[in-house]
Amino acid sequence: MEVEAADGRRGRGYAADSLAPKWFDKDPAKTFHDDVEDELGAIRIAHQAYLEAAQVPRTVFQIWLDAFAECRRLGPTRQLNPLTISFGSSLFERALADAAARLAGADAIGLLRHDLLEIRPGAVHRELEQGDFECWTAAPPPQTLAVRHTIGLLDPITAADVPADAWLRDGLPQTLEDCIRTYGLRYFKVKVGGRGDDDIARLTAVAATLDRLIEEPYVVSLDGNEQYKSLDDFATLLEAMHGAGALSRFRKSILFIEQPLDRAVALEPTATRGLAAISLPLVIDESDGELDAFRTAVKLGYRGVSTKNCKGIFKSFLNRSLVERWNRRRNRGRELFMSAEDLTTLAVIPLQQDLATVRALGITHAERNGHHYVKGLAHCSPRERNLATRLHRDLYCGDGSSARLRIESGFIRVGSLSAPGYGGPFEPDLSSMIPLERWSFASLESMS
Amino acid sequence: MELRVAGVDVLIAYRLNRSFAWNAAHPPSLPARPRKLPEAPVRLFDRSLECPVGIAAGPLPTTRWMQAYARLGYGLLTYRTVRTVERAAAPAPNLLFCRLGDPAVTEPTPRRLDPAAVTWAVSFGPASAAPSNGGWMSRGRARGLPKPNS
Repeated sequence: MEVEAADGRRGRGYAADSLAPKWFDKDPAKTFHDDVEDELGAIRIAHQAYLEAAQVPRTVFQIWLDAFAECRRLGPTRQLNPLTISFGSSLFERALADAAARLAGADAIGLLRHDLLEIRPGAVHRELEQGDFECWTAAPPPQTLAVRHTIGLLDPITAADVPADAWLRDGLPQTLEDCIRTYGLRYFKVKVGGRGDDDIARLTAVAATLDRLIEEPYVVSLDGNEQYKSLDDFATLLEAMHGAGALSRFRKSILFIEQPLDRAVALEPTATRGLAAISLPLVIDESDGELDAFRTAVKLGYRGVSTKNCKGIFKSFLNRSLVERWNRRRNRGRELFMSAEDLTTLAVIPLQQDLATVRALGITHAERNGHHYVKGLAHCSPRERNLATRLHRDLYCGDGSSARLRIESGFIRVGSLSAPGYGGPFEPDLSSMIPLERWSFASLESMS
Repeated sequence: MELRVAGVDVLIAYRLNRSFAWNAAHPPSLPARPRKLPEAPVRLFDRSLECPVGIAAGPLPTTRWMQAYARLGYGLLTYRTVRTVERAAAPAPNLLFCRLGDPAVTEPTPRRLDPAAVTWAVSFGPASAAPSNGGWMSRGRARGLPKPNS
């Protein structure tokens, strides 16, 4: 996005993301193609909305207020759900924040701390005061983030789970035990699938590996991925875990549970009755479609909300301010919190901007799986790999020919993100990319 | 920090969140040539106006602003009251959108102006540039504007 500041200076801001299917919208009647078309539709709506809202110099927050409202007005008329609509907007939020940061010579922290986006949280949540926003932006940002490693339902746990002809041999760890040994992981996000005994068997296998390979404490989050239609179903899983001796250490390591209920019922009072009685904190992820979703969730007994750049950075900043305000009145041990989750966020721009948000929010561990499900920076051009590894030696290892995320002792170092830009000064190699008007979905099918 | 999308050719209007002095110092770019309007002269007092639509003095801090609005086609441009001594404007905001019929309720800046739904409230205070030494007297004369009745 090319912008002009009120003083006439011109600058560029970037944003990027993959068009992930089956998360923004999990309607089984929709295909991969349908999902991609919906996401592109949301981006086109947002593009027009942001162009109109940013015709004259305005604060980035004012632009967002108007443009996001327009996206929410138009999205439903094209049958787009709230998460898909937010995704379209989020790209322009990130690009504008990046442009502002580059023009001001600030990183994401400076952008917020010096109020360069002129965020006025009271304009969205009336109870919020400027101080609720300022107090968390003033906190020192983490210089390292623990990687919370995704253990998907189909991910191999040990070498025995990998068929002989399915080894990738790409130099990267493939099984959970390889990942623990290679990266020194201590934080894990374990998916459960609403499949009763199969879930317990899967968790037992995961726990056995974690218990065997990790002597010191480890931390786990459980992700229900909307796979449970009722709280009773999920409570049954927790009870079964409680009764399984092999899950004793694993169970005590669980920090929180993410979105077990289908978004269709997850914020309904009837379906969530008894939620507050569950001993582990629950957070919403897919239910965080509207700006007031977190408020609704907290009233029902949820304790947290996830941040993902694809849901919008302004929403994350506002939710973080709500956490700050509401926690002043909550009892110790019942505080609200934000978690950082991933949607296969890839290097360079999407990953670094997501990390910039996580870092700005002061979250110290984040689910990361872009490096796990995709081969490093293989999708980037040599120029991009070269630039990324040169500008961010702490974050990546490798060079122009091959590069990957640098995870050491379970952590990634993010200090280099404190350079100007929302996620650093990296410039994408636009000449290596295919313009959207010349791209087709069929090109993906021909590659598969 | 305020940004706009680069390359979109629009006239910059009075910035509500900025001070009067800031707006005075940041006049809009002048449209390249005066807008051509259909011939519809009207008489007002002893003068002939090219267009009967006028604009209030509030959001016209300087003659440069008045020129811009004149080129847009406004026929009646009101020079704000000037004083024999320099006076600062009231602090921003000086102009707010408010609800039609309930002017005590302010409204966010509308995306599209609907005169049936919103109106303005203004409070600029006794703002006046210094009369001489490059002030309103000399500027008004230099721009060829009629001498205001002070």
